[in-house]
Amino acid sequence: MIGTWSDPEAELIKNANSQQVRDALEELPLEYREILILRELEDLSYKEIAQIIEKPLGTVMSRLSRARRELYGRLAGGTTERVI
Amino acid sequence: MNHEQVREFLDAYIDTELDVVTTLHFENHVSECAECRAIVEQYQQLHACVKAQFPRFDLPVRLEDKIRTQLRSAQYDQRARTARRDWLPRWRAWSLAASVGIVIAVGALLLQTTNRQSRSQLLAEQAVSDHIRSLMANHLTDVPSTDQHTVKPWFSGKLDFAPVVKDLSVAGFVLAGGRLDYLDDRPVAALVYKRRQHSINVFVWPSTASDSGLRTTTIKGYNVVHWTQSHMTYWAVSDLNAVELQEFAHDLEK
Repeated sequence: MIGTWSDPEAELIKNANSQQVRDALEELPLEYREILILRELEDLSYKEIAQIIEKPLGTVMSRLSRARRELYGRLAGGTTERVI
Repeated sequence: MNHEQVREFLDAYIDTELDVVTTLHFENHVSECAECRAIVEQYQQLHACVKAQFPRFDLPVRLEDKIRTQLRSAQYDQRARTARRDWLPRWRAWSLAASVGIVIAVGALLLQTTNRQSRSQLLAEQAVSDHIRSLMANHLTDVPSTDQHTVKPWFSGKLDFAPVVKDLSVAGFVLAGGRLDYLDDRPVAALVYKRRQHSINVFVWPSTASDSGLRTTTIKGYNVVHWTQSHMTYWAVSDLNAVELQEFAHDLEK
């Protein structure tokens, strides 16, 4: 399948445990880590995140998207984000 | 909606942050496109698995400070804080309190809203509705042309003013044409530009207000940038991201 994770990569991501997610998060740039925490852990809406990080809604959308791809890319064994 | 837009909206879709219209467009495309469907399904699975394993993580100090600052300025309701303190970790309570504080602050601002601001909000909503209608009804342009010297004269005789029509193709915003629309109880010019697969509607009509800077808002998932310049009021609406729409408005304003 073009433009997404291969099956072995997807399995690595799906089977990642809490410690592996923590390790991958710690390697991320601060702005990616904080937006992931606010969304995945705090379940804040994009609007609430925008107010807290003082950025426009569009920035929240694109930054969160890049942050997730970077995180999943690291869990898949790579070091950079995957463009899909 | 096309493949690129599905990828662009993928995160907002799984987070249920898309408005109803965009969600329908998204799901229509995905139901007909096997490649996009596979990507969406895989991404949803990965997201669910990783989210379930998300560790407890202290907020970066800088961020927690920001939340605290917002709290102080919003004069957070002590009762809500006490009620939540017992069952929430402290910093989680802070972030929730910030949300409540923000809502209170926004509420207070709304109470002070002048008629002018209410009217401004109403116009923004009308502009977004006109934008959506132009896309749904497949009636984006009356005069489809990338040539500013074709679009501008087309309005002559149809409106009691001459809108400024600029060629912004160098900046990556390609003129697609123009059409007549109706806003603020009067006929207005709607200029249509394209950025990648995104359509931008710019509604223009005369105004007696003095010049103002760019003001950005989001309605139903669409970004709206408004400004007044040289006795003309401008409303730019698009599903393009806010940063690029502001760049567009800035280029048009120059």
